[in-house]
Amino acid sequence: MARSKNKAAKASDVRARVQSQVVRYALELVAEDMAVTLMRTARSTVIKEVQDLSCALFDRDGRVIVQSSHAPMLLAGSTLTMREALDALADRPLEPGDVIIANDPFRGGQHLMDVMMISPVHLEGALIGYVGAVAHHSDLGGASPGGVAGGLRDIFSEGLCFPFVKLYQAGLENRDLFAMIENNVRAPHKTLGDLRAQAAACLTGIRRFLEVVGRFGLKTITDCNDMLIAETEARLKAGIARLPDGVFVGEDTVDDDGVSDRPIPIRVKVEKQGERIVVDLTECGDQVEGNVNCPLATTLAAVQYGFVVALDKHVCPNHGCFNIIEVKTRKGSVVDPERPAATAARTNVSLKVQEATLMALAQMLPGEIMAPSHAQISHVAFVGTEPGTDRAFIYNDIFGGGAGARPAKDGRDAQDTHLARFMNTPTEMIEHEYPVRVRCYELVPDSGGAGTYRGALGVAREVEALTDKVVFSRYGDRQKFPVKGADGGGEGRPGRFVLNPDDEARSLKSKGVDELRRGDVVRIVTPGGGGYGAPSERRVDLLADDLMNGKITEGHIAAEYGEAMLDKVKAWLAGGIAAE
Amino acid sequence: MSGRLGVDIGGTFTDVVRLDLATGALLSAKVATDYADPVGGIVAGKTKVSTEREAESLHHATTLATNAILEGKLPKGALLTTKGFRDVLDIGRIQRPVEGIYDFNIDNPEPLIPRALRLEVAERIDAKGEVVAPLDEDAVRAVARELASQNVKSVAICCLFGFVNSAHERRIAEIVAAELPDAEISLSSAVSPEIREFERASTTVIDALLKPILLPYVSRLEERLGGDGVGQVRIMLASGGLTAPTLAGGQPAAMVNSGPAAGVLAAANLGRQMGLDDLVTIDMGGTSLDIGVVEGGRPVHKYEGRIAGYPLRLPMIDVAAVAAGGGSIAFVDQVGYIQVARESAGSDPGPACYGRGGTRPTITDADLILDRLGESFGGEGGFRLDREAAAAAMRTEIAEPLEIGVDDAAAGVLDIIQARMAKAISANTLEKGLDVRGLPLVVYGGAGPTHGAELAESMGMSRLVVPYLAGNFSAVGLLLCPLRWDISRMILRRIDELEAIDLAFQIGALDQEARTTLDAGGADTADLTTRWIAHMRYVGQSYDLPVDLGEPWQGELQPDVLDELIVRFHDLHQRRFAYRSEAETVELVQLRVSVIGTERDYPLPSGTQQGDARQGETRAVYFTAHGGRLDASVWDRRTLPSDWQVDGPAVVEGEGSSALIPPGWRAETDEWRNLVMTRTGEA
Repeated sequence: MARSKNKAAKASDVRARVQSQVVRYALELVAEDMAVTLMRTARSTVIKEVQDLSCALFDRDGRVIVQSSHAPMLLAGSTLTMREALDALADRPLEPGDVIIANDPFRGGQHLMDVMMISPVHLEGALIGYVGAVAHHSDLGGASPGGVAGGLRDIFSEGLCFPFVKLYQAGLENRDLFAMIENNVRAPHKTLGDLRAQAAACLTGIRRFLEVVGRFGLKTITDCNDMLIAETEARLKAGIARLPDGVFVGEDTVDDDGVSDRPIPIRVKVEKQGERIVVDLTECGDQVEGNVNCPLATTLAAVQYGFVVALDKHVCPNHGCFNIIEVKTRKGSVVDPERPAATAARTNVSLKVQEATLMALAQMLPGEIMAPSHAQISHVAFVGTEPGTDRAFIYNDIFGGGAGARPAKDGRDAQDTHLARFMNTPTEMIEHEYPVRVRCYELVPDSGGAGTYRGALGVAREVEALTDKVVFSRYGDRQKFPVKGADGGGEGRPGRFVLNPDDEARSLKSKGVDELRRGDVVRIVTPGGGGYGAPSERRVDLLADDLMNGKITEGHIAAEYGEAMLDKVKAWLAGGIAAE
Repeated sequence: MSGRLGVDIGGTFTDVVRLDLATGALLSAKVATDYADPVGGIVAGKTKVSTEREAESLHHATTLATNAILEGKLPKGALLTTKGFRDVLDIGRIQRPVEGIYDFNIDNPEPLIPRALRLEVAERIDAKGEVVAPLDEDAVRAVARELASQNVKSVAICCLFGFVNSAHERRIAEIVAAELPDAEISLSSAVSPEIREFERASTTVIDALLKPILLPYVSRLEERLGGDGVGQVRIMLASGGLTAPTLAGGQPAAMVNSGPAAGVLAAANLGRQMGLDDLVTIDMGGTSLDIGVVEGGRPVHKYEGRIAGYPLRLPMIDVAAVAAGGGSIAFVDQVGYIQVARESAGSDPGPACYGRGGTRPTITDADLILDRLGESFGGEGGFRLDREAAAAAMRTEIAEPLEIGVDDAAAGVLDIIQARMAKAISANTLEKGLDVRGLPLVVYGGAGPTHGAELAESMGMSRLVVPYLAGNFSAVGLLLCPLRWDISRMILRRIDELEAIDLAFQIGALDQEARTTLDAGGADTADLTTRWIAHMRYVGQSYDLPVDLGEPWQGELQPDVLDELIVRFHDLHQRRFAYRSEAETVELVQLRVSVIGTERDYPLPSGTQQGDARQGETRAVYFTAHGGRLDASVWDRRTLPSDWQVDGPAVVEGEGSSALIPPGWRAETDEWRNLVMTRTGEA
């Protein structure tokens, strides 16, 4: 009798879990619908095509339940933003149809360009939850479009910073605020269009959320919310249970902040004791004058992302992540900066926090974590005047680099990795629109770290100015400190920016501004990823394949794998050819 | 000679249908796909539907092209391209697949041509089509000789801005042809003459690599079928039309995913007959759920898709494939949750209930355990499903680890897969700016009818159509498809720089070229209609919209056609993106011309089905929305007369599928022998 009761209880337990999965799909569809609305109605390419956005649903306490699957960088941000929002709005209750706008990096924001909107969801007059949409904007005023230029030193030069204010009140636009924004941005129709698209996403979200509540009932939704958070916690706990106790440290270095030449240390200390995990970032460098400071929300996203990919990729990225992984930071450090730090180029820090987190976890999970990746973003802009006209042109481009090798395969050359998610601009589109010529767009041989499995190659693009007075502004990183290898694997080769590579080549700073003349060529080289495992263990046929494909040279094999290996590769190739 | 055959070769089965052109009678058969000799399989299948050897024509879709790419069974090929750009194929657009966001082992696929066979030649053309650097012909010759020594079977040629000025591509082709007379060649300026070098190169490479497989296939097909009494052979393209075998073989990239396209076309056609102009289609087979959308009576087209992760930029009927089918495998994960994998048991070993050694429980096993499928599901020529094997797999893999009953385990598996499918279908239609609620759902494929009504209900849809030959529906579509050829040209100019007469000249030239191509391919070009669309955008936008004025091309354009295009573009932009921007300049990106023959109407069976509907035993069937078993009447589909109706809970079995009618739904048969279901109330 006791046994069958037990069985009935188990069955009801499984039914509840299945129900929570069904509700998860339904809620995720609401978040997807919000994202589709946003992409559909937005004006700028970065939202429509690159999909640098995220939409989320929250419960009435502001806990994230589900998110749309777009930009992992925005993962933890919404939790923190919501916490700050509830604080800020404690004495100003939200009414149905209100939309709050916020992007303050020092109060739960990412960097200024990532603008968050939040709306309350009411059922029969009672607050039952929130919807939120965050999207990357191309410009919010400030000293340079999108804050791309290296060397900006405070948040005031980067653009408009919104505290938690109502952009919409009871469903109506706050016209004063819209007018204020319109007066302060470079392309008002784009910025305002994108803001309206975000608000439309929130309003769609409210409607759809209520439909789901109508279909399942509020009680079921509330129960499932708790279950989904508990499931995330259970998954992470199960993963953490596999980790050994102790203190494990991952370290990386940011080249500089673009103002001084001082390197910035990134140190992630993972302390595991029983069920408790503390990630201590207090030993990261102090906040800097340049714009690489990484706001807390992005720092948390970087750490949480590391744990999710290492422990259980089925994790529903919700509030459960926030509960389980305790992160300690030091106010005034580069990973938890204080006003008025400049933050536009934060990814050059956040990606290294994420890599250092994975390096620490790799020591705890031997053989499971990929080798470190390039962990930088090179953002370049060529700005000038179209020849024969007075029309300004701005050619923006973003570059990733080589990913790390995986424990059982090479890094996939030249693709985005981890937190970073973006798209390049095709050469033909560039030349169709701007007075530049792209001379090549290619993989960089020998740039991936050697190893049993090779790090991915970085890419290079050469851009020639076809007119005078073209301003080349950029921020990049990983030009001084190479990507490390894992488990005996070799380092990836750093990137660099070179002026006129064929003729009196001169290296340019990773973060800075220069003026180009007609005929000047800039070569942008991005770093390669780290290798995995001892190079001596690499299969000869894989080396031969790389050599034949020009991904590595004989010199590289000799230097990294040894002369004896080079002889083997040559013999293999000779045999291979003879066999054909 | 009054029969027309439709043959759809899929990964598991070859579907054959025969339409009697005189009476409208439809017959169907399913045979196992013969991988060693697919053409022989067709000849064999042909005898299964009719004793008559002769046939007026045979319309054919095959998954041969798709599978060759999916399985990586492609010949050795090379890419010749502009100096400095051989890695475009590898770098791509940089963005990793969405499935790889939290899984660092998931990548974009490696290029179909390795770096050593991607060779560069010195030449350069700029965005205006002007030659910046001349073609180094000696270098091309040297490269071609090198390729000849490497025994390359096909060569793709893709130069930067080759779509603006194809002179260099054509000259390279001449030199290559002289040095490698036996190799197949594809030019980017012919295959996909559009801006963006990665997508163009990818499409061209796929085309080049398929030629050595598909060209011999179609010629063998035509020869053997001709010898077997078939008058005319036509090949299906993903664009939704048929063409002559030599033309299809000469542009095989257009054959990828053509079978599913035929299904959506059939649904659109059937919908028009029934007065349903907007609808959603789902085709649920063993490994995937294919989702299509019909708007205004026509399948929604798209102009770029993906195959195995590789961009394919050609006009095609928009079919989205999701990894969810009867063979999808269920398991319990490390924290005690039931999951359904993307992986499918396929046909070998297949679901546990196939009795071919499969031990992992699938969706089909869950359906059988819960009596949603009968044991004799396969029908005549099919096989008995093994209930014990299904239960054993479900018990071992799900029920025992969770300490629950087998029925509860199966029910959990179904809830999860249905929720996932509903999300995929809704998300796919949302992306097109449509709301599924209010639209009818047309359901086919072997596993579709079992889940259709429950899926519809969970998505808020209230009307469902299960066509008579739901198990062979794509093959039915082949019978109806018109002849079609598509051709396009990049314009990339502000519309205020164009004149109506330029446009008319361009369309006229494309129309002529398309007709000449069809004619040269041996297709009958009488009764062709020419349609054209203009892809337009606001200057600076990175995406465009296809604008169709709706009027077929008659040889000239009204003087105000450009104004009309602009107005339509603003309207379409408003509808798709919720805003318009009349102050901005509009750009005409691409002109696209399709010459299309006559589409045959979905056949109305002659006479009505006589006799009484045959009712089998009542059985206790599990319905997901109800969350338990209900006594359901079971009916034999082949015996249903045309004015029959039943209220759920009920099951209609036969013709390769088992259609579930949940409580709260009513099913009726109509004059096309469809099973039409309507939601009548709350369950």
